[in-house]
Amino acid sequence: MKNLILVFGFLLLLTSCGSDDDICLNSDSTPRLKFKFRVPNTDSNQLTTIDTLYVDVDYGKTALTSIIKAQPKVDSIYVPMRVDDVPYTDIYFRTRKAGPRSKLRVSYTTKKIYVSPACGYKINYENLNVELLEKNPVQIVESNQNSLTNESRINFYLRF
Amino acid sequence: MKVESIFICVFSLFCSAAFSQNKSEGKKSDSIKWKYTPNITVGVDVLNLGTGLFGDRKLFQGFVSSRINKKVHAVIDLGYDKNVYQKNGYDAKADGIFAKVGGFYMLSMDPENDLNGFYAGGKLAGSFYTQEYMAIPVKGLNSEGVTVAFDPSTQSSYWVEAMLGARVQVFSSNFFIDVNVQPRYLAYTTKQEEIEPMIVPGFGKSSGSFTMGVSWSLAYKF
Repeated sequence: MKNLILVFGFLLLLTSCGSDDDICLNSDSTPRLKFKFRVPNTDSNQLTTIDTLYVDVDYGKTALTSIIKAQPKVDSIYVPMRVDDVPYTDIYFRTRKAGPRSKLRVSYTTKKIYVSPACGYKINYENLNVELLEKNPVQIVESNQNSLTNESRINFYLRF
Repeated sequence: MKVESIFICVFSLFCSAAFSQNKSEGKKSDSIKWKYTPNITVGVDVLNLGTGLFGDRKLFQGFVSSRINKKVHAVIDLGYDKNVYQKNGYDAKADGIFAKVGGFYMLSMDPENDLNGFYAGGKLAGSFYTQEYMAIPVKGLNSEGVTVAFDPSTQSSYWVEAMLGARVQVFSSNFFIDVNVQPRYLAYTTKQEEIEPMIVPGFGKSSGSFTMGVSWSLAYKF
């Protein structure tokens, strides 16, 4: 009889640690775009940092979403893109709060990939294509890796 | 969820009050040698029938069992389950029938009535159902509410379950109360587009492949 209660208790214990269907680790989620910066006004590939940076992204909401706010000494940034059916994401860069704003349009084709019960789907981006719609402060965009399936590689270099 | 829990609590209290029996006069346990005579016990799960009134899950299940030797009973379960899953951006529903086949062994028997007692057993189960995922979330930072939808499809799942419970005669009638818990492990499931099912009728929430079921049945012995 005592054994029975022990077995029952053990089984209850198993159920309590059985399922976590709502924890999704970030690494299993949709990857973000990775940018780095090259020194301006040259052809050299030397990397540099930006003294202050503001980045806003248009996710199709009424207002832009601020990704980076006055971050000093930036050497690289990650920008999450849209996961809905719109084939591009607009990203805005500023170096001063009230300064001029560059508009960068990244277009792509998307692929939905099933991850797990907790994470649902993630998006992988293929055929990344970048257009600098409004110059200043960003002068030039250079493509590096035109598919985005994980966050290990740099997609674009910016020259301010 | 809360209403459901309260119902289960009240239900158990009510039942323990209604059926707590004053020790019935015992008929002496019969001979040492037990001989099989055709016998059948049919039960209906009243607890889940009741909780279905308050929750999204409608579970109807019953069993037929037969004592095949002194301590071993064979049992077959049949049921219908309808459930929804609306959580973390998911919106899904599934409904279908399930069947279980197995047996249990009387661990301890009441010396005065060897149909009363505690038992443990195991079952193999299968479920055949229709599922529809109206929304599966697409996870991306700063993007909420983006989902993927799928058409309804027919799927099947199979699992093993252990059972641990007790069977008690109601006074000296042919009625029995059969209470048991069933820890379950999902062994195999067919999938739509590689999607792990979030709910499986008869099994429950299946994303973790381990669940626990409780049933409280009223049974009649023929």
